[in-house]
Amino acid sequence: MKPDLKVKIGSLTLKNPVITASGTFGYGEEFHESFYDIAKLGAVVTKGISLKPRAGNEMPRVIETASGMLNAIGLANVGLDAFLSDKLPYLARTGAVVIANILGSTVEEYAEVARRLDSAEGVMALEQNISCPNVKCGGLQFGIDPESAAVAVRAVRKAFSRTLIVKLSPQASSIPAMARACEEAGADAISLINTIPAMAIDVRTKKPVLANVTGGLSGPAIKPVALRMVYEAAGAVKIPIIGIGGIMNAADAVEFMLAGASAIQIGTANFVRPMAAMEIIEGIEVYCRENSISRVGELTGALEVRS
Amino acid sequence: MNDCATKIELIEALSNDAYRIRFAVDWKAFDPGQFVMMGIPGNVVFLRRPFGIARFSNGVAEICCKVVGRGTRALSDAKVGTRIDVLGPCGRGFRFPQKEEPAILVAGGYGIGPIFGLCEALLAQGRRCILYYGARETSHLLYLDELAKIGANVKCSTEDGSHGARGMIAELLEKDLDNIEKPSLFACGPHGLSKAVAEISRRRGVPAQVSMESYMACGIGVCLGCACKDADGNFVRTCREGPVFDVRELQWDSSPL
Ligand SMILES: Cc1cc2nc3c(=O)[nH]c(=O)nc-3n(C[C@H](O)[C@H](O)[C@H](O)COP(=O)(O)OP(=O)(O)OC[C@H]3O[C@@H](n4cnc5c(N)ncnc54)[C@H](O)[C@@H]3O)c2cc1C
Ligand SMILES: Cc1cc2nc3c(=O)[nH]c(=O)nc-3n(C[C@H](O)[C@H](O)[C@H](O)COP(=O)(O)O)c2cc1C
Ligand code: FES
Repeated sequence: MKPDLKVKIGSLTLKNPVITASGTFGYGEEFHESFYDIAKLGAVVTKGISLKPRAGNEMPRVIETASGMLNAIGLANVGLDAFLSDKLPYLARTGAVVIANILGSTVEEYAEVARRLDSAEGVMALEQNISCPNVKCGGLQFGIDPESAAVAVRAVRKAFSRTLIVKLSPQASSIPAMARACEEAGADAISLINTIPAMAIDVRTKKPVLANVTGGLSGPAIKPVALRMVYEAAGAVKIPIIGIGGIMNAADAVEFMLAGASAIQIGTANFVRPMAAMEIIEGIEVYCRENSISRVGELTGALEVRS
Repeated sequence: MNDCATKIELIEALSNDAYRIRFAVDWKAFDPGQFVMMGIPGNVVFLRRPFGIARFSNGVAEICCKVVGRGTRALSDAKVGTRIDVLGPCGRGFRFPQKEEPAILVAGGYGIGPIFGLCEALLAQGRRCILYYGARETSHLLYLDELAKIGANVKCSTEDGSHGARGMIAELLEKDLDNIEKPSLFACGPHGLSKAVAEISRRRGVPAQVSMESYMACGIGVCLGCACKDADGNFVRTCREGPVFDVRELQWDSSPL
């Protein structure tokens, strides 16, 4: 029997739990043209969108590290206007479930981007990236302190009527407290984790490898940390959790679901194997069949912790 | 473009640190200047590595790999039959010149890979071309036999003068350009060579295309890690809008890699 792979995130029903992560999938065009029909995914998360276009950081922006990579792209993106006029129509035509990832450096910017996306046809949900420096608080991330995160989430909640996912930073002072603050502020789901701040040094030149000095670590190197954080978040809130961090194959995806995730996102794996997301959907289906699981949702939180 | 799981069919040393590697692919054609993202066997590195496509015929592609680090070492140590994933052909290759314009190809180091592909394609169409090819020393000049076989007109330079003219290839090129009518330039090599060709192009008002290098994570245009600055100071993706650019499209005063 074919297992039921459908999962619910807020008011959205996804055909399977596999979503592609922000910043690793562009706006969907490259994958749809060259690799697979992106409507087969549970959903697509766009590159982070800001009110105005952002050029991003100087080169070098990426470097490989042990079992992963660092990036300091600097949230480069085409900006809200170009997203709406050039990128969204294409995405909508593919029939994919589109989740717009948004960023802001003030509460007002988040709210403005959210308000304009609320009236845009084809955006089914928002993913609010709170790992952004808050210019009004000396550049300290919204994602560190639950109170400042809650203010930003409430503003977006007011401005956007459909499903709202809040994407947590691994730098949050406490993951359970942060997840609860976002739930109370009106989030329909929590996704985590974003990249972990890190750096690489070239001993020959005695310089940092990245022009930005520090960058975000992603890939298999962060998976154990991400799993622990997903486990903690799932224990703290009732809303669905979307697990992210170093997922390379179906077994990794199942681990996140057992830890409490309802869905998962594929990030850096898209760079290493462009077909990764399709292989993972298939692999999850095979896992369910082999383990007599009729609904993939049964996996969520099914971890058996020894007592 | 697609990702294909294939096997190494041939691996052969071209010098003490450069290898010719062949594998079957399931694409039907490529534009010279395009590249492949090679999965590196043995789990020694995480990301794929980009290599220019040197040849393609009867479904078999060839790259020329110079060993500079762990990934290129592991690839060059692989044996015939080793399974590898090859994503390609990626990026935008060279745009061919007008029929009447002689193509002046310029290669430095392993930049000969893509330039060999271009030279072969141009000669097959009966176009006029001259190849300027520079390296540090004789043993670093690769593909000389194949170039002779396809009837290429090759002018070499080495820094130590052990083969051809002594000095940098851009200097030899500059000297000859006075005697060539309506040349258009096509270059692939280290950043210094690309910069020199851009400068020659600007000073003489001759068209030039160069293949640029950048550290790449995805090779398919989605990570934005490989950006370089265009003439207006905006970032463009080396893997997608490039790697071959018209020199007028780019900013040349910004620092290399
Ligand atoms: C479009 C393109 C085409 C290329 N074509 C060829 C080719 O035909 N033949 C060939 O031998 N090489 C080619 N290269 C360069 C090749 O990709 C790098 O040498 C390789 O990725 C290094 O991997 P590594 O693991 O051995 O080195 P690492 O251990 O990762 O690094 C070793 C050294 O190489 C440098 N390096 C790493 N990646 C790159 C890169 N992408 N570009 C330049 N320097 C790099 C590092 O900064 C470091 O100094 C090309 C690069 C690009 C972007
Ligand atoms: C190159 C790159 C760019 C990214 N850009 C964004 C972004 O714009 N917004 C965001 O919320 N996360 C961004 N991320 C984070 C990923 O969405 C994901 O949370 C993180 O990479 C961890 O998952 P992974 O290990 O599967 O890659 C980016 C990651 C990478 C590697
Ligand atoms: S290497 Fe990822 S965008 Fe070019």
